[in-house]
Amino acid sequence: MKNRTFIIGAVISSAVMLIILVGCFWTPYAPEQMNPSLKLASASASHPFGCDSFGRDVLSRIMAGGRITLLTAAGTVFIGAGLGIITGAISGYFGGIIDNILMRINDTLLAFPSILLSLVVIALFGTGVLQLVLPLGAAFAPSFARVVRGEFQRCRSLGYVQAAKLYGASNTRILFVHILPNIKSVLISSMLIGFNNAVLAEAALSYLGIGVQPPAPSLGNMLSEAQTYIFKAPMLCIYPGAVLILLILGFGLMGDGFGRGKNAGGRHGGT
Amino acid sequence: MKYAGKKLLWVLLALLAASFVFFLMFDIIPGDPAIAKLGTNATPERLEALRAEMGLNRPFLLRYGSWLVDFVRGDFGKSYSYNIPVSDMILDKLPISVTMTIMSFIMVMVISMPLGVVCARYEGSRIDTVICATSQIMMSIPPFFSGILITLLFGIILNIFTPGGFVSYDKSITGFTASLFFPALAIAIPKAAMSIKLLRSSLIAESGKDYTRTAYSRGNSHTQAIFNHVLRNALIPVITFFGMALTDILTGSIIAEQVFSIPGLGRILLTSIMNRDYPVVQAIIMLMAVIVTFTNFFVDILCRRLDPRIEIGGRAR
Repeated sequence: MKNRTFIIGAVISSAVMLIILVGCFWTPYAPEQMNPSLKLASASASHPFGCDSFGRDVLSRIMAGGRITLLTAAGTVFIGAGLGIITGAISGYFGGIIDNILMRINDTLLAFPSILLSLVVIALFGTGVLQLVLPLGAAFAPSFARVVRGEFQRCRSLGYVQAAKLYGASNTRILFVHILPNIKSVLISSMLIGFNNAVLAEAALSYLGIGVQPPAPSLGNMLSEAQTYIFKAPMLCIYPGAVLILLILGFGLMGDGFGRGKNAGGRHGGT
Repeated sequence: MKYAGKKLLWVLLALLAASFVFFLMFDIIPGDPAIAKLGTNATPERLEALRAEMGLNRPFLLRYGSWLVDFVRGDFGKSYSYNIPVSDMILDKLPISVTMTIMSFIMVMVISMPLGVVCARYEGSRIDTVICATSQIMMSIPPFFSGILITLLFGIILNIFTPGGFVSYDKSITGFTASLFFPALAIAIPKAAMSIKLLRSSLIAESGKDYTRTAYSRGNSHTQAIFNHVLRNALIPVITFFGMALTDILTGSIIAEQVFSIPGLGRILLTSIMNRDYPVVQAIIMLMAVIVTFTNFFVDILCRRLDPRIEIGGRAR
């Protein structure tokens, strides 16, 4: 049952990923190329998803927009998981007062909605991909730290760690060479869920007009542009939205299939 | 009570730290509020006078202290772009965002509790499969896209409400509540889906425990066992989730306001960010932080009452 969930998720997400990966190298039209004669054109053989309000090909924009969405999400998870693993490992393995202090800070950060942190950073430093990835990554770190800490706490008294200690392995070596590979299943499912939340957060911020800036396409800002024309061309909203849903559904099912580490990244509902 | 006191102290400390970091961040950014207010061609003397008047030439800690005291007293300073007290701007819009958040929160509970129980009661049946699959898909809908879909379905195809038609609360309370119904629903749907899933798995996990078997052996029916024994214990993780959901809904209202063009707090926050109207941004974000932290505080207290085994920090052992 669990495996079936994972396979369905993997199929959905690889289909979406394939479209986006192709978009990295080739799109049917240039995503920012405008064609006034094709304004709000409906679907046709040459433009399978139709054209937007500037006559730009929607399929090309989705392919290119998905790339930015994926890149920001991957960056966010990379930073979040990196910071989270380091703090979680130190906190869980050493315990004591370090653990206490780090987890206090962690809990406080965890209580903060990631979108608020992003809003502060964007308010201060303006819009841009870096201004998206850094605060989101920082906001995602505590949930990773919490999961990783639990795992390190569990592992530190296990036989293989004791053995490594006895033959004189350094703490760093024990942390990252001995324990880390053993918790990879928990980490992977946390990363899948975190990835989803990052996609949601990026899309939401771009939708609000403070994430990826037009004319560069992103699934979020395409939706906000399409919403203006919701009466005339409702399908314009449906395509980028459907791609977002499939992407999130696919990764969500994969994360579920992995089963464990349900709390990771789950905190940031990406609103 | 000792637990609550300790926890409260920690909450206040966290808020103090957060306010300090926020203030510091807004302080170190480039840009001079005096220039922002007077324009770039103001004379240096005028700028200096305004800086003195705004208290900008005092040391950092002093400025932080007086800002904090003012904030606690409800004086959030003046907006740069509208030149009116920030508290007036916020108080005017607060009812909108708060009503929407509460409505949405009630919807999450009303939708998810019965469905979650039904799923767990008839685990593995067709109805369970259908609800689970639907909620899995609903969970994947970004909150702003659910808003767009609702506009499309109920606003344009079924014509039940007018997209963008907002009625202010000082005109008509019923009209106001009605105009917030669909925006609230848009935020509620993904959260309700998550909560169905959580309640279901929590109920199923508790159903396998010894005390449930004891309840059966004493002659309880399946339904009785769930309602009288399992639900109470299964609710604890769900309540924690509801607490998080409440804060997510509050921040989600920023997005819903944008989708349905509702002039609430989120709207001012976004315009202020774009206009670099820092006193407004600072006040709204700090206010949200206060609401979020206190919600979490009350949820922790509630969970502790339901399950006295929970330690400080919310970790059950």
